[in-house]
Amino acid sequence: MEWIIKNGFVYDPLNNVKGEKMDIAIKNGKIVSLSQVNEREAKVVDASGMVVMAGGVDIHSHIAGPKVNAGRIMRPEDHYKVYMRIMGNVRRSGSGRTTPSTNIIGYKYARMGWTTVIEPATPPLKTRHTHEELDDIPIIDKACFPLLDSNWFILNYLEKGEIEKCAAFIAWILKAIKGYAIKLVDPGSAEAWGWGKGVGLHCDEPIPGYNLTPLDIVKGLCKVNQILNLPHPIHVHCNRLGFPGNYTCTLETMDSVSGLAKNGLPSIHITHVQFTGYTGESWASVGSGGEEIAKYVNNNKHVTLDLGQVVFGEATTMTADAPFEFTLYHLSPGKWSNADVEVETSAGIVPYKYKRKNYVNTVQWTIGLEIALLVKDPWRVFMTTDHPNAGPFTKYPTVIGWLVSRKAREKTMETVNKRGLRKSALPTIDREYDLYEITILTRASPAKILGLEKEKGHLGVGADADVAIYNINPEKIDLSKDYKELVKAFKRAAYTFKNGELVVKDGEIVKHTYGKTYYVNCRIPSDLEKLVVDDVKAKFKEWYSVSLNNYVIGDEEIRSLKPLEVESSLK
Amino acid sequence: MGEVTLKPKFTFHVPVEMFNVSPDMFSAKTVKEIGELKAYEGNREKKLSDLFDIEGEPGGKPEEVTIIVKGDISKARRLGKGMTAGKIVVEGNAGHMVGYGMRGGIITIHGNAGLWVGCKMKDGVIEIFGNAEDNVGGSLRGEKPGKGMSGGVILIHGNAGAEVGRGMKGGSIIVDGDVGPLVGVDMVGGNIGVKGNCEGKAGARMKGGRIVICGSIPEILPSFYIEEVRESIKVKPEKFTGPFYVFIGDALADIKCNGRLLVSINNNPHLKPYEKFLE
Repeated sequence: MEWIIKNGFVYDPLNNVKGEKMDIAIKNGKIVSLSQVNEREAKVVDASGMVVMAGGVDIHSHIAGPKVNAGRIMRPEDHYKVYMRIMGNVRRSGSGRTTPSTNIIGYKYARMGWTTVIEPATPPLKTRHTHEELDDIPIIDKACFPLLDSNWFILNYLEKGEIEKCAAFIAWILKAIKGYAIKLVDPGSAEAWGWGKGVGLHCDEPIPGYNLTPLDIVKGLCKVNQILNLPHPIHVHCNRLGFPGNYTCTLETMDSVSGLAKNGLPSIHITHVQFTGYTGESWASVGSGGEEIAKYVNNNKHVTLDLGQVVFGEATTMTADAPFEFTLYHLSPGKWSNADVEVETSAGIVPYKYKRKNYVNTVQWTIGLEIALLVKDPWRVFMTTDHPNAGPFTKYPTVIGWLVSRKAREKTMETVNKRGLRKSALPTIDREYDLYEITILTRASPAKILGLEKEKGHLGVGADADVAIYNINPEKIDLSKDYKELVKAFKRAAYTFKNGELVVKDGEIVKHTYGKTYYVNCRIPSDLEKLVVDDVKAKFKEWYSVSLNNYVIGDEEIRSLKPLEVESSLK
Repeated sequence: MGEVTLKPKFTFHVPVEMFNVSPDMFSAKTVKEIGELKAYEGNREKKLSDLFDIEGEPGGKPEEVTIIVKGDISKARRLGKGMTAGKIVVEGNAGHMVGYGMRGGIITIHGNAGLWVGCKMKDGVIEIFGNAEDNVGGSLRGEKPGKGMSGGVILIHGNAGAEVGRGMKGGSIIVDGDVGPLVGVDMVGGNIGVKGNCEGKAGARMKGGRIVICGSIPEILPSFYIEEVRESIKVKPEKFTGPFYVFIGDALADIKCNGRLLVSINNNPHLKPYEKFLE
């Protein structure tokens, strides 16, 4: 199928296109130059007066995996009121708001114009489940990050200082379970939690049973990441997440790998930084550490951030940081679920509601926006709500509204806790993002940091034909005043193309398709691989309750697998 | 006063969604317009006129409308959802979730009712001459305590199932017959009066409100403490005469023990050992 998108205002930061009127041609699922399509036969989309962007890229959204499923089971009340009906031959049905069914995750992302989503935390042992669910999510492209911070193999290698073996092991496990990058969640705390410790584990405290501290793990895995030349830097959820005064820990974690950055590329990605940016000594005196974090990021080029912006309303916190969930359960009584994954990690779930009039929730709300507005370089800060931890991904348009308009922020500020607001610099910040920066924040920079900038996040020739068209005229509206129109446009894209197919028209799904699953195939010397596999085979029987043959996921088990070939620098 | 009669055209074999059958939806409409209202039979969208013979003439205001359902509609769901005034009479059995979230008016059922009678109701009266199943006046699964019924009265002249008044916050439930286990689980307020027996575990996780059991109960949960002996108690709209043991609890849900569980002394001789804690 050939398409021509005519007369839209094209925003494409990776190719330095800033709102110019251009035609985009699509052929065989790729963006091509106009001369390559047959203009008579191609279907035409008239995008005059509309904004054309690449499909959105979400770098951190818990959309699949065992804990997402546990969250669905745990929260029937989340599914009564929000549902999508079946539409014959077009879409399947589903329900849920913070823990939606697999189908409507894909539909809702596509309706907003997002086409690539990353599941950022999957226990390697249960990644088969994650892939089954990812396979079931329609339309979007996806990938998953395995949790590797408390894996016994890795801890043992790091303790002995065998970085090369550790690298070979990680290359093997990424290939075995079809993972994409290294995810660290509260490094070491899952191992400590196995001993009943690890609540608020500080980043330089020793981990029980090992002669290691969380910072050693961060440094070690950052080195591994450099050795393997993985496309994405280590994806770190910092220690002491959700404890007052934790911003120092975040700064220490960022600083620990400052010397490891190569070629000016980032060496660490700090995820949902809002949850790890608190000052103060207790919940009564908690304040915003957003300014300090933004200052550090402005001065150091090796860090990228995503926000984890709080959106008021219902949320379901689900994280592999089990000790924190235990703490949160005591702060907000109700339901709590906890799980341990043998050898590898643990997880917990607590439903939570962010209230406007709550002091702590207000402080949390300000931190994310503060960081987004104070970090000068939009290429190194991405917008997420850490779905469903700080709010569902369907609230992205609201967050965009806050970023582009001081008026929108002021309107929300009127309704929040005043004492919490006084703890923050947010009321004094005048910066407003423009549409070009929003495009960077939501598409170009996440695609770039994922190492997918060749095919995702831009509209140059050769990119995947993932296109979102929003019904706003940047020449006519003033974003800071008419932010409501922008929010409305982003809630329902006028058109969304996925892989060259029209999937959304006028905000409604018109086609059910399936996207690709990316994984990293990191080539390592075969003798080193054999050495590590022998190591794994020897320990596997002793440590795991499954056999190694059932652990490795075959290529044929995944619907549409797309390897990203990487050459490691191991010899 | 307007009166509308609904008569099922055939015996329903799959669930029928009747959320549009309420005085609020019927008022100021003609019979033809009523027939155009949406209903679901299983997963198929239907009109009310496909499922029922509709006769009569509704009034102009909801409070003037009386809806009479002639026949068995035990497959019906959400009859009288969110109604604010008027009257619904079912001459037969009614299905699940009768009076879901109702805010006023009267529903009378001359037969049995299904699960979740008066689920999340805020005001009004539901009277059932037969039996009711589980979760009378209850909250939905997974919801926090206090999200159940918050006002109004439910009168059941037969027996009721398990979890009567689950998560209720206000209002009264009076059951003339027996009830199943877990009466008033998760309740934070309101009154439950049971004239028959209870299967046990009464008031589990209750934080407030009152439960009166005039019949027998196998045992009291260990997280309840005896407080006093009382002769009679008024649970609107009725008065129960005892004497009763008054227990407070549930200590596991709330250390303040604001919940009150009243159990008949005469019908529960096996609870006599509690009396030694009264001195």
